[in-house]
Amino acid sequence: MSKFDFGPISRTVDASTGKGEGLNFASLPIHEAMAALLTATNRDEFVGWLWHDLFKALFYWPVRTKWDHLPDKPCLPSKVRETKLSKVVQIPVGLVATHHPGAYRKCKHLLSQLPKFNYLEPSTLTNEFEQTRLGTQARFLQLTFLSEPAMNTALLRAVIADAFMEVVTKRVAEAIESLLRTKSLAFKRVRYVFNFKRIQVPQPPSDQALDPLKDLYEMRVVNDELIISHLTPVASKEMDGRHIEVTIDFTAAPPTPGQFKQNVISLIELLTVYQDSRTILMGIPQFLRMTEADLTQLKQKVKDKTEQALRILDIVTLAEEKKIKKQAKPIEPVDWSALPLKKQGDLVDLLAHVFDEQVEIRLVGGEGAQGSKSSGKEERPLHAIISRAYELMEGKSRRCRYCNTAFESAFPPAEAWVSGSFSGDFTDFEHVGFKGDICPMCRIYALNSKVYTSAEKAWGKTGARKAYRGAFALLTPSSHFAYSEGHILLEHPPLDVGGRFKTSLQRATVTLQEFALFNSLSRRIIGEIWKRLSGRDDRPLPLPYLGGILLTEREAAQIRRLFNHFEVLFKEVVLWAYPFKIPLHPAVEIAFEMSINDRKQHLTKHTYLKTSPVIVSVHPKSKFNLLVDNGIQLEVNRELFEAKKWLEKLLEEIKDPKRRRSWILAMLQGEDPVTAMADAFDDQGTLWQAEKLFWDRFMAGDTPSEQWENYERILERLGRTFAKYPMLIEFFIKPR
Amino acid sequence: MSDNQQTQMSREQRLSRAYEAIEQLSLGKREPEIKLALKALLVIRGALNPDVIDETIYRRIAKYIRASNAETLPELIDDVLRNLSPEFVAHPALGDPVLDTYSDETASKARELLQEETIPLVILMKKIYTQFVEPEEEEGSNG
Repeated sequence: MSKFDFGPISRTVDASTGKGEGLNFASLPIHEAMAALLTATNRDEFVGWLWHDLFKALFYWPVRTKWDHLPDKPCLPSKVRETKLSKVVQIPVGLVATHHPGAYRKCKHLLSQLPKFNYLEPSTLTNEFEQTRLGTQARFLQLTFLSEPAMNTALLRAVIADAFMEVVTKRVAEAIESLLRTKSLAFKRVRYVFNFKRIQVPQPPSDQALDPLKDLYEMRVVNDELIISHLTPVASKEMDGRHIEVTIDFTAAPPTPGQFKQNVISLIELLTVYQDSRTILMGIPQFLRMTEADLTQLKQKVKDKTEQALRILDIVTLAEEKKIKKQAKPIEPVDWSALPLKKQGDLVDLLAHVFDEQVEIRLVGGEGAQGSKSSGKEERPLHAIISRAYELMEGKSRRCRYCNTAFESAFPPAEAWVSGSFSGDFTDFEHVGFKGDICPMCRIYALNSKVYTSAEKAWGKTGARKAYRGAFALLTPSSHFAYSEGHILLEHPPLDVGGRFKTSLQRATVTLQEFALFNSLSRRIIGEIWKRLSGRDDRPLPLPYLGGILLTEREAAQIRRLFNHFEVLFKEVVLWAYPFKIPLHPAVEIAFEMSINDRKQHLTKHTYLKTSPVIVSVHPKSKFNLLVDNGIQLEVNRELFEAKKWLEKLLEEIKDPKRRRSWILAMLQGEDPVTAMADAFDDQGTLWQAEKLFWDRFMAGDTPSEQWENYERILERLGRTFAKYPMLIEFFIKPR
Repeated sequence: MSDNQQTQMSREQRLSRAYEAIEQLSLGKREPEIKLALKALLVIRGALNPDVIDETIYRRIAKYIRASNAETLPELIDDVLRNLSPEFVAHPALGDPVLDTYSDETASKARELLQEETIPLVILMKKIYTQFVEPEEEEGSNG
């Protein structure tokens, strides 16, 4: 089971109305940090939002519809508790008190005297009702691919996405750092500490009873860290003494599996509001200046980073003109010298064309955004924003033969020439459609054959290129998720006088914060796989900002090992968010092909054209298909891993791969396992191995009856296993 | 039963005890045919000329069972014994198991079973045989 705990819940309202009874998943630290990131316009607001809901952790509900959490009583002029806390973090007293102006409706004169936030949560963070709208004042940077999510462009899109997320995260981190430096008290991280303690107070609790509890809440800055300590009163013995710490890292450092384990939530996780294979939406702070010029500069940085990353992966994006001409036959005669082609020296810069023609980075909201002159009060349907790719591709007349993308390009309209793009030996026509043009992204795919160009050879490249063909693995986080009813109320919070948790909260509501949470869970699951694969927890993932694992044919052996760790995808995922325990199914997107027995020239195989990325829900009952050995679609589920492990155990004493394979072949032909074992050692002339290595280890029993019973049990289980997974033999390597 | 007690018993007695032990086994759904297959194996093993017994004996028993074209269980026993050594040893204690192999329906199933799941049955019979008839085989023969 994968268990996550980011602290207690932060809301119980139905997101579609702001009232009602809804179960929200996002914990208090996520809510407060995201409020700071998306809502604050200056340093004091940023710091104020970081602890504005501090006293929610008390779970004091005087009446059923009121979660009392302001530091002091709104209509009393003295702000004793807030004064103490505000002084620690150097912000004006009264700022936090006014984050719910409605609380001052009976003493409006007092509200007018207090400092106020420029934007409030409903306009940025908490009115994104039911996945349909984003906060009207919130600002986002959006990366959109004008491309269908085909496998042969997945690698390129992932690298661009990682570069985009890195550039944006670093920009935001810089802005936060300079913002926090404006006062002497500076910090880079916030540590939210929750101490769960059993308490006994009179019912209903008096102010005198609550005050000592509230006095246990404190803030202090130690080194670069703001520590915010909460007391969460609990009723049961089981909950007593629990201690949860969540650290929000506002630097741009890429997350590592070790940090995930320590409950560190990195900046990139909080900024990633939505992510799928066509678009990524990242929240940006109000205080981050972003003009049209800034946006252009940012796009250039993303392109430079992408170029650098592709170079490391040994993927070329610069093409000789003659190569470009071989990729497609123009429909009409073309004067190539007159075309507005992007060039670096004599070479055509295909990546520049990708960025110009198939990538959009735009600001949503804010001064540089499209439609920024509007009042900011209009609705912003989420679906309209995340379907930006369709909007941009609509009406584009050319269609790519390889990825089916509608596009326009500076390259002349043409008919893709398959054998010119790849080679005369290309035989996988069933995967590339009958006709069509070639888009810039697919031009890059076509360009990267195993054969180095003469120029590359002159630069010292030797052997064959092992990128963009053959084995590959790409695991990326996904914003998709599933939730099935079944949350458990761990206990009734002792200060819930009004009975908020007396009846169950029926609706699970999903907001922008939940999107960030699910994305974080997805990252952590991929991080766990990476930790198991690399054997270390201090190493960022290969695509650290995207949160993805990317391996190509160069790392074919690692890909085989990676597959063994996919069993992480079949674990139960449970989120603890006091007072609830919630089973969840976050998702991971996988593009995958591995070679097991097909080793001959695997690097030349067009595996990228033969399969599609799949979105996998992390759940014990999940299943999906993956491509193996360039031609076999393998159904992967939890039982497959269990069966594979069990077989490995049965065969662990047989070291010779030839004998192992012979045993499995005999099983597939219907032999019983003991006879198959004897046959695997036929050359030995005795039954010693069948008896000692197999019968005595697995059929052991005090009596012959027990031994036979064990034998029949194993016989039956093996029969079922091989009937269901005949492909298992592929995991027992064919001897060379 | 201790090893000492076993050695004091005659071979006839030990073979009878093995036969009784097979009769007492609890073997699930296929019990009648498994018991009969084990009895057939007991007859084969018990009747073997000691001169042909070495560490490969069980492998050879299995080999001739699987290779036999016999259509009945008694024929199969005869086939295997003749292939291993025509000079087999007759034991009165094997009379009962031999008689059992002439039962109609079960014998046919037992023959099929013996030819399909030969090795597990041979190993199980070996376990019974070393427990009741020849305890010294446990160390001496890996066959």
